[in-house]
Amino acid sequence: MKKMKTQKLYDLSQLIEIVGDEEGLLKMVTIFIESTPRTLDELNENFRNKNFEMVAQNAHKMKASIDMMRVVSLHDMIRKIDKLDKVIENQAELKDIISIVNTKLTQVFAELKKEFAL
Amino acid sequence: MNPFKVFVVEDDPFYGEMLKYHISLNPDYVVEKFETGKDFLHNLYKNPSVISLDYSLPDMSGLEVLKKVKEFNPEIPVIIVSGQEDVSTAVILLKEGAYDYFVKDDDTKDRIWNALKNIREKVELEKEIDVLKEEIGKKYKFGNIIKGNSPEIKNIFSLIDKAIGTNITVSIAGETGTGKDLVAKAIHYNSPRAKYPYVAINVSAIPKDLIESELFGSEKGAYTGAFTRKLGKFEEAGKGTLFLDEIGEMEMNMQAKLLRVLQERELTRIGGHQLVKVEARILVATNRNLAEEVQKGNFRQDLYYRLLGLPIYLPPLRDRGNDILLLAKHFVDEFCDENGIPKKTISQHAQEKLLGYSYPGNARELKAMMELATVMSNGTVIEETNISYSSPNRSNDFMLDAEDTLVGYNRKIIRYYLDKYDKNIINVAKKLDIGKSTIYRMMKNNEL
Ligand SMILES: Nc1ncnc2c1ncn2[C@@H]1O[C@H](COP(=O)(O)OP(=O)(O)OP(=O)(O)O)[C@@H](O)[C@H]1O
Ligand SMILES: [Mg+2]
Repeated sequence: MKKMKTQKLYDLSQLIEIVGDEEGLLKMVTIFIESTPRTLDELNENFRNKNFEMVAQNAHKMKASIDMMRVVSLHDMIRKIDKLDKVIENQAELKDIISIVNTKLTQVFAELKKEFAL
Repeated sequence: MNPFKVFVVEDDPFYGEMLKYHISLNPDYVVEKFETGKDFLHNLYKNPSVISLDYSLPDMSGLEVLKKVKEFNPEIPVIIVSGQEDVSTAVILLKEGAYDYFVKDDDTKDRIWNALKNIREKVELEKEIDVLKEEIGKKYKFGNIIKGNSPEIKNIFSLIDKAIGTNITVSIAGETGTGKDLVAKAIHYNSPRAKYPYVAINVSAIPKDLIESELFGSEKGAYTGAFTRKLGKFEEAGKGTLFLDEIGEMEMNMQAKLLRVLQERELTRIGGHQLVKVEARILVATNRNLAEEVQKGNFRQDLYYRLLGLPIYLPPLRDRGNDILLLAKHFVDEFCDENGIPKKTISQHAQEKLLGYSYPGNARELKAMMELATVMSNGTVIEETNISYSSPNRSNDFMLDAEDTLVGYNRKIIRYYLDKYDKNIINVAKKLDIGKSTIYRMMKNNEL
């Protein structure tokens, strides 16, 4: 069981601590699965339109949820997009990061759906 | 108790829900969540106890929303939660009245938790204080505490009403025991300043050389024995009310200093340089005729005019007709209540005796008389014999008084004789060679 947890892309222990019960956890996960893909879509769209300011804002919005779900692998990356004007100079790098974020998050969504039978 | 309403304004539904869950762990908190600035502002009328506000909302900036909240009610604490650490924005927000500024990270929810706890404790404390103040205020609702039905006292009520609505200095005059203290308190506790201190100082009770430091305070080392800074009564009163009782007793050089402070609205503590703002409302009282004292050169004319403001003159009790009886009953009731004695009434003869006295000590004297009478009476009725005048040997003060009409002198003479002969009307009528019906009639008409 413990091994399973470390393999997972996310860690719900903090969330459980906050919401306390099954019902609350389910609700939070549902919200996450509903709202984060929307923001991710917006981010991708904005990136295609080279609207970088909006890209940063979308990343900014996702940051808190990603942290709360303890998606550790995205911790630094999402921050890089969030501060893109300061950190990322070339668009190629931004593109790479965004594609990793997409892949990882899609995995997270799928795993969550499976775990909670959503 | 009103629920402690927490509004969470957060465009990220996940984070918003998380905060809601976390905050709702305390069963006393009622949480409402909003995702846009507009939606939130629509609901602001519900007057939340505290707001947790995300700085970057899709439709408005956090600063805009904060300003709107402060316009609506500057008292509502707003905690700003921002995704990013930005010191200059934080400074601006705090200047605009934000309660605190947190960056979204793992500790945010705990920080919000603590902030809510602190805010709530403060709110509860303030509520308690408000309740206490309201109670004190009620105590001084003037109808409740200043008793009387006479036209004279009704006029006083209307003047108090006028004083309450403004910041004007009020000068209260009247013989000893007429209720000057009561009037001062009634003004303060019914005015908007009621939430600030009421500070009273009796000028005549303080040694002349200490009065300045009592009023203005002193710095450490200002004089031998001044080991610490001492705040004066002006500062103690803050935005409240400072009642300067027996102002007529103030020495001339102190009068000059007081005048300066009142004019400048500023003072310096003794031995200090720093200017301290004077914000208190000033009430003064005297049982002297201040205008006369000015004539005699004992009171500065400029200060007199400065302090005159709205003058309230409390007529002596003997000029308030039936209020004497009303007050007498009130004092008896009060005394019985306080001492757990069954209520007592006042016999007809006793009432007549009460009306026949001149009360140089006014309400205070009547109060003492009635308390003694209540103790002396055996049954449930206070009899004439239970009442003894406190000053049976009145001086023939009517001779020394200012000029009066013949009718006025008549009254005074009759009163004097009534006192002297212990309210024995037949005796007095004989002595003065007038009909006893005349005395009865004058009594009935409250002329005595
Ligand atoms: N109208 C009134 N109704 C009820 N109680 C009164 C009234 N007037 C005075 N008293 C009571 O009489 C007593 C004396 O009143 P107060 O201390 O206000 O008089 P004062 O004018 O300030 O006297 P002094 O000039 O001696 O300071 C107090 O116990 C007060 O409660
Ligand atoms: Mg007094």
